[in-house]
Amino acid sequence: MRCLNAAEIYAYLENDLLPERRADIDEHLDLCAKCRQAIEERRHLTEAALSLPNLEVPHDLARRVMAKISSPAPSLPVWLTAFIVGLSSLGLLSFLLILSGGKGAITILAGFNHAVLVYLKNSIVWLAKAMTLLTSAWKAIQTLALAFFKGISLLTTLTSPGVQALILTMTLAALISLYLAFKKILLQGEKT
Amino acid sequence: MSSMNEEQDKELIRRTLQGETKAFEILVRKYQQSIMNYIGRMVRERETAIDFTQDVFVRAYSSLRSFDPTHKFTTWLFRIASNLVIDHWRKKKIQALSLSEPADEDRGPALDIPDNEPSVARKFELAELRRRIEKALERLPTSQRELFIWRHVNGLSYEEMAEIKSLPLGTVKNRVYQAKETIRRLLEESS
Repeated sequence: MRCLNAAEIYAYLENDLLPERRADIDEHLDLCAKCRQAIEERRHLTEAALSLPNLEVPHDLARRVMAKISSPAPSLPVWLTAFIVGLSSLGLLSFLLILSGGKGAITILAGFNHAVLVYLKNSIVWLAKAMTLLTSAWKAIQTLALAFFKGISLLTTLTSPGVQALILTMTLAALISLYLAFKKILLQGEKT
Repeated sequence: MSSMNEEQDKELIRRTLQGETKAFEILVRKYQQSIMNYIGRMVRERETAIDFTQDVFVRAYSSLRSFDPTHKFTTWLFRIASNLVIDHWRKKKIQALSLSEPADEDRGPALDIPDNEPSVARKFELAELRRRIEKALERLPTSQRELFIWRHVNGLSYEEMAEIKSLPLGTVKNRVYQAKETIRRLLEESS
């Protein structure tokens, strides 16, 4: 067998050879001092290379990375999206009822019996009001939704799923009670 | 063990994608040393290496949704790091090899062992030998240096390196062997 080249030596040192080939090399090494020395030389070099020291990492590197990244935009769960949309619609409806002076939908419907010109005039006024309202409401909803979402994110990070479910149920119940009470007050106002 | 480690990484990625940034911080702490060891030896400027190490994780975070969970997270992370280093070299107009470009050294010197080869590795104490290897690394062609670091400092397998660089397994092995031989010759010259 001819003497080994460097590739064969490294493959031998890394045990990356077929068993038959390895046996041939072992046989050759028993007879060849030059190849034995070449193997020892590269074994020593490889061992030194494998023990190169770590480079120093700043102690606050992870903190710096975390400061650079903003919170990802994870997709909202369907139930949460539905909840936010429902809540927003409820808020908007309440706003409209309040601003119509307690007369609410009845006044709006009565408008249809007026003359076309009066109706158009009123509609334009209403449209302008509604646009102003919608803009304000949209801004308020955006702020509310953002705060709500941040709260949910914090909640999921800090508490267990059981506690999360309990808090969400209680919040939902409180909101529904608030809505029902609000509705009752409005209806009483209409009767008087 | 390795498979368990991969599963842990995938779980941390899943939690990160659900908005738990703390999970990503765990990944940063887990791999910051490996990335710093690689980039630091590639760019050779400490402050640049620190900045790049941070950038690797920021890039990884911003494109985490594109991570294919059938691959290893470390392989993906090292590919990001490698691309960052290549961009850096391009900007500085330092020779940067594309992923598929054949390196000159692949067609280069034979790996034959000459007669009467002097023993250089045994001439030095281990600490001195390590210092000389670090110096020799600076003079190594970039494509060899990168693979040498991944193999010996980061402990990547040849298969992982071939995947990161999209190169045939044989080419990767050959470059690592060439790198070791080049280092040995540089040690011989300097002794």
